[in-house]
Amino acid sequence: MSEKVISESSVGARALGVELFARLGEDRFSELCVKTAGMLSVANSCVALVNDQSIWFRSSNGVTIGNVPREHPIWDVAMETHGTFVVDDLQSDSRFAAHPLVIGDVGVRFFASHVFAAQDGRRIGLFFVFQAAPLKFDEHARSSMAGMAEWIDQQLAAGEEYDRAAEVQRALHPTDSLPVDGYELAGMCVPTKAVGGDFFDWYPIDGGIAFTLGDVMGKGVGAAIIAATVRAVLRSARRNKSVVAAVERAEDCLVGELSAAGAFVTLFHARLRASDGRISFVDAGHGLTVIVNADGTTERLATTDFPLGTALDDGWRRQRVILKPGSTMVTFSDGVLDLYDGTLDSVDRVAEIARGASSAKQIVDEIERLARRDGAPDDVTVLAIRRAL
Amino acid sequence: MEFTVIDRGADVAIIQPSGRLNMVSAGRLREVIAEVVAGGRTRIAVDLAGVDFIDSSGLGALISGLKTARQAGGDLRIAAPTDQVKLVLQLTNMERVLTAFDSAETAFSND
Repeated sequence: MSEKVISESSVGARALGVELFARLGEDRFSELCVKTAGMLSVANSCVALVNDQSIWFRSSNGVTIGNVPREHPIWDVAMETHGTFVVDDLQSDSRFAAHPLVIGDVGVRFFASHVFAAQDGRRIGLFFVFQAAPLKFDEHARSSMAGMAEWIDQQLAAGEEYDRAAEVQRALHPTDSLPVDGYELAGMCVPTKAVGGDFFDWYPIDGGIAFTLGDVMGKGVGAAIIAATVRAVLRSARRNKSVVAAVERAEDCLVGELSAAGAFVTLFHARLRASDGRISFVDAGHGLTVIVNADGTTERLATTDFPLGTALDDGWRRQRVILKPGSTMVTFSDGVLDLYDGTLDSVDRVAEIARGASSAKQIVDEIERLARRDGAPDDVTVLAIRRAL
Repeated sequence: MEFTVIDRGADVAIIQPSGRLNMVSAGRLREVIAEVVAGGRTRIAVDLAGVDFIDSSGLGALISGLKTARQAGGDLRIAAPTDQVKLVLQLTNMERVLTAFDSAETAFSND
């Protein structure tokens, strides 16, 4: 039982390490390996992920990259050592002297390593240097090794923080389908990085549903923080019947920060009255919303209002449209345009998908499929609401 | 991305970015506009003929530049946007304040 637990944990650690190396790019590790080896006057250096069974070399200087079984006792000692592990001459150390790597063609004599760990303390790999000639390793060299390992630790921590940010952002998207008779809702967001500035939201209001699709300028964590703020401020206005008031509240909360950064947010924010399908909305420089009616006709909802954060003091106007029985509204981010030819003709392509689909979810799923298949260059976010016939 | 700045008359400057106006280059464009306005040329024509792609950061830099120029009593106008740039301006409704002229040379010639 305990064996199984250990092996699962090291598989997880390795997946974490693999993802980390992929994200940061091996070039950075390789470059650092080369520099460190040069600084220490050691012939070879390497970064490796280590689990119970094998050593997986990921970046190296003068070392063939590959996968070797964890047979040599040196790996056990190195992985268990706290701090820098150094053997000036393997031949004079009885624990290692008889090993083929030491006495064979490779003839490794000098070895020094430093463990790196995930944030939860799991030891997942080694930074190590080695060569065919013995070497006297001084304090300065030891502290350089520790510095390199610390840098790797920091990169690992940053990667894990980033993953957590992505989890939090995913959790902010609604997953419940609201129990409003006669309507179905679906939404999805595929960010280009783990987190992004696109978001969608919906929640019940008195007599209906409020929903939002927003796109914060920029990518990554900064845009994601602003997106979460916009979402929260809009939600805080759920008891206010005015869509304009909600958008103004968001503008008031964010205009200082956005304006200073030369950033802005495009937004589609709406309140649906379930009894008759009336949608009151504000379109703040979003422009990508289309209604597809049961008879196949389409209507693109476009306004002249500015995005949030331009500080141009232009205000927003409430618009109204009726979602008729059998009609579907689809609102989406500009990343969808890049799935097609990048022009407004893409709105027609989205309308075609809506026309051919039998549910809101099917529309969203189809666009998600395209986004994942094509490796979309920008965040792709879609929200669809359909009224039953 | 390169930025060429050409002086025209007492208070007009033409700024010509080229390539992609995105998160990487947008900050530099904001700085260039601020420097030019601080130097007394408050009427800025941004020649977009050489810009083949603009994202929201690039648009943010243009809006920020517009505000900088207006605060100094001038204006910022754009010239020769490509179709992709036009679409971004159209979707965000920013075409209402960032009027596009055919060429940077004529952007302020009729004032």
